[in-house]
Amino acid sequence: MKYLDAVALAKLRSLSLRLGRLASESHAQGRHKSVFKGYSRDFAQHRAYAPGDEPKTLDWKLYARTDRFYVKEFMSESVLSGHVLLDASGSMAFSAEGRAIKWDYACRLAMALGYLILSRGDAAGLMTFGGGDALAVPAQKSLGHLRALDEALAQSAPRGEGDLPKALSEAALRLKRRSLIVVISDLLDPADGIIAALKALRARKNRVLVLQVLDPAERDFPFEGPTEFESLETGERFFCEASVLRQSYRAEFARESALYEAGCAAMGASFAACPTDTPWDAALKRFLVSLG
Amino acid sequence: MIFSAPAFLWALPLAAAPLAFHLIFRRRAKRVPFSDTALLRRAYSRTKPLSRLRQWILVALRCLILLFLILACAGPVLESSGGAGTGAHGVDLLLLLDRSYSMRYRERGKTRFEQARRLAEDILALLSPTDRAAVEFFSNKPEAPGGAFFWMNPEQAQAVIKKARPGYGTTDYAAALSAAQDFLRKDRGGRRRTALILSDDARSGFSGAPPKLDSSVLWLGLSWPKAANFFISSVKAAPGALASGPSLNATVSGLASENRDSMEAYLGNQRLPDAVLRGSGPVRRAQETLPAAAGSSAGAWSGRLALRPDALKADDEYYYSLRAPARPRVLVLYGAGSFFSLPEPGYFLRPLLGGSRAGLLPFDADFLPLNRLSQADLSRYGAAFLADARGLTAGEAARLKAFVSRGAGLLVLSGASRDPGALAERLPWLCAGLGPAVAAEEGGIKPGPGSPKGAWDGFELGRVILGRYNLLQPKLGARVVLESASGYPILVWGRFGEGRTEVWAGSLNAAQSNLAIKPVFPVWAQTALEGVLPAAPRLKSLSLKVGDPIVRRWPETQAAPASVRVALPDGRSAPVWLKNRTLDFPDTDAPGLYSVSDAAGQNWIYAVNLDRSSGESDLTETSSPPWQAVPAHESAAFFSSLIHGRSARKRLLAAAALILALEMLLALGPRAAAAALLLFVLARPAPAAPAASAQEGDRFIWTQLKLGDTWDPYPNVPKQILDYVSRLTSILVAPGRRVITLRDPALFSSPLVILAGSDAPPILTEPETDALREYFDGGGLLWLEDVSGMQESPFDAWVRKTLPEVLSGANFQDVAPDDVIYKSFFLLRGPAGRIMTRGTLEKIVWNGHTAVIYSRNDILGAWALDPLGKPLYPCLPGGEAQREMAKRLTLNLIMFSLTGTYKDDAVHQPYILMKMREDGIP
Repeated sequence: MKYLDAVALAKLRSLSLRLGRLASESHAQGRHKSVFKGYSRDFAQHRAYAPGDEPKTLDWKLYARTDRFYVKEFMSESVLSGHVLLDASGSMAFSAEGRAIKWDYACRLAMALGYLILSRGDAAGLMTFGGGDALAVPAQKSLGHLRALDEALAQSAPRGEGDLPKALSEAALRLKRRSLIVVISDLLDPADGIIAALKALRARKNRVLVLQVLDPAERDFPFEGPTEFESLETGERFFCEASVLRQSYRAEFARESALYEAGCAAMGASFAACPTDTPWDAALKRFLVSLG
Repeated sequence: MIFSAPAFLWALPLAAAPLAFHLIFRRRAKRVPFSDTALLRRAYSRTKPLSRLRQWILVALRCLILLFLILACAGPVLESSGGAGTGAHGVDLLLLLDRSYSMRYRERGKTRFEQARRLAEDILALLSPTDRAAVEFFSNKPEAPGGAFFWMNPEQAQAVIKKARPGYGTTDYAAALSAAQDFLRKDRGGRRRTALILSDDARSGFSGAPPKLDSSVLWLGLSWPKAANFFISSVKAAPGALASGPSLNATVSGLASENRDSMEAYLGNQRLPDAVLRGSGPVRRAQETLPAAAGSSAGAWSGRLALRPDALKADDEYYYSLRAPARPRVLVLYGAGSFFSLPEPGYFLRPLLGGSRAGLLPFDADFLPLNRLSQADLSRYGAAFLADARGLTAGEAARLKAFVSRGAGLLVLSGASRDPGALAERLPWLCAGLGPAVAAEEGGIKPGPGSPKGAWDGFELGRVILGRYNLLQPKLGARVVLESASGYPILVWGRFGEGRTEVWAGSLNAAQSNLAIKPVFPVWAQTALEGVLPAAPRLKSLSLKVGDPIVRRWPETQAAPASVRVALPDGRSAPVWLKNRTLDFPDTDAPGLYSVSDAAGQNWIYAVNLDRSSGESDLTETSSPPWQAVPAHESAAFFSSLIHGRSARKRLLAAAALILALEMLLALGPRAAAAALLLFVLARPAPAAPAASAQEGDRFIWTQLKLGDTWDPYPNVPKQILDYVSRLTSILVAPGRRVITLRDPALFSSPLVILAGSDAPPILTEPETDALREYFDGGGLLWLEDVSGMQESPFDAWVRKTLPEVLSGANFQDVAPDDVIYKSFFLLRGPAGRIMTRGTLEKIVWNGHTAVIYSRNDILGAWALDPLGKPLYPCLPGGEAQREMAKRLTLNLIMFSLTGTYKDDAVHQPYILMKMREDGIP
């Protein structure tokens, strides 16, 4: 696999995705304990028989001892549906100073999270959005599904102008409730629209994880002198004296980042910035630890 | 606005260079793919307008800096100044040329006066025919060139300026400016008026507050680089000690950075031992004791004290002329014929007072028997010393009384009289009555209440034995100078008539008293005789300031000559007629010794010195002159522009500096800008040291003139010569050689310059000719060496054509065999060299010193060695002996360049003789 080789798999074996209460609310049949009673091998409790209960649920051994009818109840098991929403707009093709392009970095994160979801016995799916054709790989439980995810990513490339709020809104309609939704993007669009879209996802009882993939140059703006910047999304150009703009750019960037952090915290989504000068596995580990 | 150097305006397009660079770099801005420019645009929209315009502001500031600098270089002058007139009808220029002696300060081969005069000529050359000029010379008083100030055309003013010569006066700016203002006030013709003070800007020229100047006139002055000068600030003469001449106490100032420890002293042309400079710091003192006057006649001393000259030579010499009246004469009277035999007093007094020979005391004495007193001419004597009163007659006593009452003195040894009562009867007018003789008590004598203070310090009066002495009874008004241990008067002093008497109670007879053999005896004799002699004659200094007339009046009692001859310091002399028995000679316009002699052979020497009281030698510049100071090195064109308006150069430079600071603040931020400014301040070069008069640490530098193609025929020879010089002499030599051209300023710090060659060097340009002439004027020596070895060579032809042109017709002359060149170190018999082409050296004498020495025998070739260290060329015809002579001649030439005619002057002879005397060699 292009984005998940043996070394990456070895690094991921020590990691796990803990999502707390979200998994037990699912109605799908799976490996996770559910708050609902259902069919499984784990005994839950005895309950007095009530008319309407199926006779096969009666605990006959207990009737023999107590001469009363009791119904034997078992813990129900649920399965989680995880979806990785990956930004494939042109801006994800940016890299500076010889570092990896953000798209590669984001793909490795997406594959790693897919593996972690699948390794829990959950279903993992993938959706990309951006200027090119949108890609959607349905969620499946099998680990073999990883290959399908990798092939899908390998065939994709970042290009065009992305509209993240719109993509998130559409995803909110298409995906089932109580899903795990991982958004991987550089989040360079205005924060207001994106946060509103994320709120819509959360309103559908989804667990939302937001990973912002950035090149450090986008954060620090180390450019000097008269510079003409060319947008990787739209191709438009912008000339400025970089050193003059630096202070203002950094302030604007910090303001946007703060908005994302505050917005995610307010809605209960998890947010993490992943600069590309940090190894993807270290960034992922730090993020998973923060999830508890 | 006009520009004094408009050529710089061609550089104005350069001011747009920052804008061009900005646009070029903008077009060539690096293109950077960026994730999304939306954030950049949002950030840009939030930047402050000033930040957005910052780059354009920076570009504008940089353009302005360049613009102001270019304009400043172009010498902008604002035409709106000057008050009166716009200059449309021409300008009026008044030139005030300072002729004071401080303008003789020499820098780079030219005096400040010469530089100022040249500047004035150049400025006048730039004036238009419609302009007017006037000239005022000044020193301690203003001088009009033609007797009155008047306007003339620039050409006439040039002619007047060209004739100006520096004087020896001091500077008085107030008088000069006042005269200039009076002149300018008379004519307000609606023209722009400028007064240019061509002076050295020394603060000594202002005795008080600077005068208020007419604001309608533009007042310009020159400012000069800081100059160091040391000088003899004062010399005072004092009477000498026992058996010596007067002493000169000199004060030397300005020696802060100079390592001088002595000054030269001359008596006439005879060099005396150097006076040692004592103390440290800028002010030092020295004392020079002149030799005693020969015999007993009146003393006369004249000569000079001299420091080794610095850039301002005029104040490094001080002339003196002292006259001391004849020494007082004492008549020693004695009665007994055995007066001069031991143990009589005469035996001791004659060596002390001298008689026919000079004695130890500053008196001249005659010894006379009492019985010949009537034949003596008492008017010749200031006092009589009655050493032995035996046989004193009434007539003699009366003569003595008359002698004393007229103002003379009498010292009487009463103990020498066997009958004090008789003596008292003969001389009742003495200051003390004579009582009977008594035996002296133990304890000797002691100073009395009337004793001169300190006269007896260091002497043991208590050991003086009197034997017997007469009891003295001092009269009213008498003073007891010495008294016995018990307090009885021994030496009493008092007045009689116009004169003075003194009585000694004891005797000098060695059989009775040991006074005559005690060390205190000369002091006793001097004290006692000075008590009765008239007031000591004073040393008279015949010293005048430059410009003061020599005035001498012959008293009616003397025969006055009809005329006298006055000899000037430069050797000229002229007869001067007396008017009303009075000589009045006003032309003392140069320092030196002026000799006045009459037909009878009498001679008076007057020392004329610079007026040092005004501090003219202190070249410290005025801190805030009343005029606008302009550096003297500025071009005449710049001055011309100022004359036509006001310079805006400083303002532009200040504006450029301000904008630069603003640009740094904007480009670097406050901290970085402050750091850069601090760095700039700290990295400023230290102020230039004042020009040193002694160059290269007093080391001799072999200096070769690079002129023509064959200027360096033997490149390795200088090193050998310098080794030779340092090995055989105490001359400090610099290790390398110096190669200069005639335009090189180092020419003027090279006492000896060598030009060798075989081919003809190029024809000298006018600046080169001027520089060479200035070098000779300044005392330099050029050694020409024809290395061709031919009787006729191109180099020889060039030398014989060029040097007379440079030195205005001066011609070569053969160096005589007894010339000092042949004995400046080695005693040589004639020239030498690699090949004897000519039997003599040649020289050119210029301004009294040898300026050029020309050898045609290739002296340098005799030094040349091959790589193995063997002589490269044979010396013909004399062989190795001739080579050795060539080497010695080389050393003589170097020594001659450093010492001049030192050997001929024989100034070292007194030292040799003194050393021989100290070593006991007769």
